[in-house]
Amino acid sequence: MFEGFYIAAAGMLTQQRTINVLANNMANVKTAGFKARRVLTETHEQTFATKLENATSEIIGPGEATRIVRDVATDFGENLLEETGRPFDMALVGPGYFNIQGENTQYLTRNGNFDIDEEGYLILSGIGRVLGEKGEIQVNGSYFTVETDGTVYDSEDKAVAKLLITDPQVAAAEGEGEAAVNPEGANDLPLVQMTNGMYTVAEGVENTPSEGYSVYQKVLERPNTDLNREYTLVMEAQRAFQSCANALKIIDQVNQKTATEIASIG
Amino acid sequence: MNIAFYSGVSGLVAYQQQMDTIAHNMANVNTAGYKPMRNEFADLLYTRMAINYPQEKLTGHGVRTSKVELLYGQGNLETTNYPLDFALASEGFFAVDRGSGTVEYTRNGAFDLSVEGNKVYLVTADGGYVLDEKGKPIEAVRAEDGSYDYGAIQEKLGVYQFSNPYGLEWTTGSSFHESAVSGKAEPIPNHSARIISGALERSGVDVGQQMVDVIMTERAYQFNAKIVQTADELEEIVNNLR
Repeated sequence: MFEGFYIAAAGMLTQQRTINVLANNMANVKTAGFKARRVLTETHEQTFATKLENATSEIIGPGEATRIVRDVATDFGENLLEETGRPFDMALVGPGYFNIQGENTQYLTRNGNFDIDEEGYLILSGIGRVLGEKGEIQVNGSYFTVETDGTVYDSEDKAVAKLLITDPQVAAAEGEGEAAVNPEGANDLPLVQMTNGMYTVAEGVENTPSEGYSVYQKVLERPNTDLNREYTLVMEAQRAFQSCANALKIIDQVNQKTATEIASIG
Repeated sequence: MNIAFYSGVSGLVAYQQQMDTIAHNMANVNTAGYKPMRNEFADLLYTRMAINYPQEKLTGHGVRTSKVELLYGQGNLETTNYPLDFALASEGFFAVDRGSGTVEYTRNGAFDLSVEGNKVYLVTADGGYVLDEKGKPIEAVRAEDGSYDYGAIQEKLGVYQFSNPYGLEWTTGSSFHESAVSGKAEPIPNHSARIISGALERSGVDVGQQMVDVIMTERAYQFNAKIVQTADELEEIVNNLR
């Protein structure tokens, strides 16, 4: 009886969450290496249908039309480059990620806004030391150069390290056609987002070296966030939120009539 | 619950801070030896949309200023024809003792002479002693006819280099002091540095670049203000549900 009530309420919640994610995109419009995120929604009905297909062929009719958040997807499209003139700034063009050794985790990021610590190692401040192919990279000062293949040269033009650039890929599913299913528990996305904005390699995915990338020194990768699009999506979500709120009000009025007028007939 | 509110506010704060930095750069567009600074940003924490449900997706909480970077680089030189103006056309810094206990380093070479009793020292415009490569004040020798040998002063000037000049910390008067990440100040031989007398290094601020940043920062601020407004309107809708 109150079904519509909850459908409208779930709609409001979903739109609110959409606006939260869009607000974060707009706040981070100048954050180095940031990638815009999108809220993807689905209805409960579709969840039921797919789950049933995977289990048995039985169909038990449509489920609820409640709209919920299915995923917050990252837009991994190519970003813009900004020249900064600072030797610790690096930008990646092409596929791949920088590898950062966190306290217990190895993080992946496109943010190349590096620094050096007291011992002269290249770091991403607040996260950890930048990893090269042979471990942490010691540059000892700002007089170093990075070639486009990621090789780091010291002030005497001696190659000291090579940046570890990886591009994890989900292993191709076994079999062909309909038989192609990922093994139990395998992820369909190679990266998992962490609470500090970094990524890690998903479980069961190999952190394979990237190919066809270039590293540019003294350049930073800026977000490709298009403020026009972001704000249009905010407006859309806001109006959808408002419509859901109005629907909620109407259903409430219907319920009120049911509670007062039907009872008064008798 | 309404995170968009606070994401928007974090954007307002961060872009206001950047505007402050740009304004500071612009104000110092004619300060000799000034090196521009630049704000860098980082995203804040990501949390689950509903905390009780581990499979919930992550949502961000906005932005913060992660650091203010020093953009160290060579500025343009301007001829002043004043013999006690020195410009460095190579890497390095002049060392200045302003009596603060720590030596300060600057590329602002607008110096002068200060008479103390029967001795004459080379000082900065605000009275700090300019140091030689051993860290001692530079004494000017007066010739019998009352003139000074400016060439001898130039030869005594100490020039110091850092392994990471981008890691220096700001003090007043476009000066810096060494930090844990800048490395120790190493004196380099006076003759291997290019010191030009009668010239000053102008501010490193690129006005065109700063104006572009002003426009971008203002727009970013504006859109974040709109987000705050939108979040407020959502609250209004919720408050008028009944």
